[in-house]
Amino acid sequence: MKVVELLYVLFNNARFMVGFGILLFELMLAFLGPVLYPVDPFNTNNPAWVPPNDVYPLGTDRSGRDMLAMIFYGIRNSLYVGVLTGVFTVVIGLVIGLLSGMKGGIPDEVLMSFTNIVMIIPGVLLAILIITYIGYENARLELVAAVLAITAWPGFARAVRAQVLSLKEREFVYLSRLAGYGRLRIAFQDIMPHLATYILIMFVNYMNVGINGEVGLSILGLTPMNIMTLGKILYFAAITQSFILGKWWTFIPAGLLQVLLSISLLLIATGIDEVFNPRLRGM
Amino acid sequence: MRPVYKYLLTKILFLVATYFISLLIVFILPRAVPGNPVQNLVVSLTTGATSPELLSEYQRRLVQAFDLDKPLHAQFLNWIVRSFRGDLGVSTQAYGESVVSLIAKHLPWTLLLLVPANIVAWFIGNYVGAYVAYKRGSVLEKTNVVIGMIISQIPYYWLAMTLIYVFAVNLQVLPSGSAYDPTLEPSLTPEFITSYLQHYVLPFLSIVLPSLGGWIIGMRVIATMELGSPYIQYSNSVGVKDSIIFRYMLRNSMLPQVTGLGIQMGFVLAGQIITEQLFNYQGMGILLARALGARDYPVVQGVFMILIATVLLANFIVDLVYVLIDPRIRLGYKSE
Repeated sequence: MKVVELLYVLFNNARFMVGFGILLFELMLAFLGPVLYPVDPFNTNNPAWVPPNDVYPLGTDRSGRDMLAMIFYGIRNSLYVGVLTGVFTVVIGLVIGLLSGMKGGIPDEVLMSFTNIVMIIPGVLLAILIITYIGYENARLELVAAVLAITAWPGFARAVRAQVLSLKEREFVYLSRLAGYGRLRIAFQDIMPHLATYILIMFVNYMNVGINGEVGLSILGLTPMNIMTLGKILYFAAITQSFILGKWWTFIPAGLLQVLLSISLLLIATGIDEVFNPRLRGM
Repeated sequence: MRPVYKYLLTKILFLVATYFISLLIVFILPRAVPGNPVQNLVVSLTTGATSPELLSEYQRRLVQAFDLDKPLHAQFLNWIVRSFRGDLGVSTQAYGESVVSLIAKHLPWTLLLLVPANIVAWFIGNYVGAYVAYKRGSVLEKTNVVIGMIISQIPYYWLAMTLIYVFAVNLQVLPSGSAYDPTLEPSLTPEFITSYLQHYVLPFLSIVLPSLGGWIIGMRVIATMELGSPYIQYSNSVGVKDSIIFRYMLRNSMLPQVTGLGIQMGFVLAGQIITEQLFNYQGMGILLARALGARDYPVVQGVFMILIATVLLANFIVDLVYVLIDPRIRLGYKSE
């Protein structure tokens, strides 16, 4: 299928379009926001606890940080963590899943036992533990994403392996083998294209996992203090007890935008799934 | 050997191996990370310490807690052996209180909140999901799918903040935090129980509501497939009452969801940390969050030992229950 055809089919899917629209809106906030509203999100030289008004469209928090600026930079950095988590998780899962499925035998047994073990070790706890000992002062967003990926990949690796095992028995793979092609070439030329949409869907899902995971770690105070993310906004709201003091503007807008972002990613993932998986249509 | 025992034995071996590897990770991390956090802790305490006696006391406790003067394998064995004897060390922060007694104080509150919340969410979510699938094609289904999808994406910590803001601050109908009125002593008096239940509502809702969405969505898919199966079509064609068909379908669709419950239990147990922190609910989450903040490594390690064990046990029990309630799996094992 040509790329244009592909896009045409996708853009005709209602769920995908709604999700894509919301995502575009968030991307605009993240990339146009800081340009049109050049305010430093860490500047504390403003009055504290100002409710939304003309000067501060979304008010300020206890230290006088501008909420709107925090949200613009927050979405941008949260998206960055999300994309990185998606990439890391998909790469780890693909390597393990493909290796396991293609090799079979003892490597398969070893890799799958390892995967199953990582799968039931509670990921959130592992992430907290790793970051605590590395020291959150040194933690960077890349590290946060890596830690989230380390705990998220097993499900994906198992699914990839299962798909590889079934694809391996198809005629076109037999033909490639008869032609004397190596495992690597078969994996990348014959099998990978069949996994492409699944990889894309899981990438979007793990992006969501990354964005939410970052917020979770942030609220516990385990992410770098000098980078604004959606999680950091909620962290500041939590430590200043702003929800008990009734300062709704410090957490309601940021939270709503996070929920919207998650919903858009979910819609995009289900949209792609519907388009490429005709059995799901109308379900 | 009977297949059941073989099954049990492999499961238990796997469980023990997993726990051992988890413990190894918990043990290795503080020692393998560059800069050795334990040494760093001693240094950072030095800069803040007022009296040299206090400092040397801290240092002694840390060295003792981590056996830093011994080789690695001895440290690991010592730690495991002592832990299984019930000695998880002494907190470096809480005035030398033992880690075991700290955990004993906090664990019941977490279980009281967590177990009912999860089970309630599971039952309601599955029932609604099955009902929605049963009424497929209706407006009810479409609205429910959308609502389910939205609430499944609401982060529970944000919901917790919003619930506190709305019900405790604006409407002032429920308390904003703590597990019970701090002026009361935990006891079984009606006064204390009412106070506890009042404090229970918001944390409970903040866990139940977000997990409902996931169950509804999952159950709808499973139930839709179940509705297409031959026994349902047969029952339909011979005129079995709708309510009975619904019951058949509900029971059979709930089976796969049992595994999900186990996994969810594990996840929520960990996620609990944030909810408890926001509500200042004195469970394991608060204990861990405070220990993380104060770098109280003996408490962190102790809490992890217990939490990981609980998560693994939850998974194990769910696997067993699943075999017990699903005759298809049992038969599968017999015919092998």
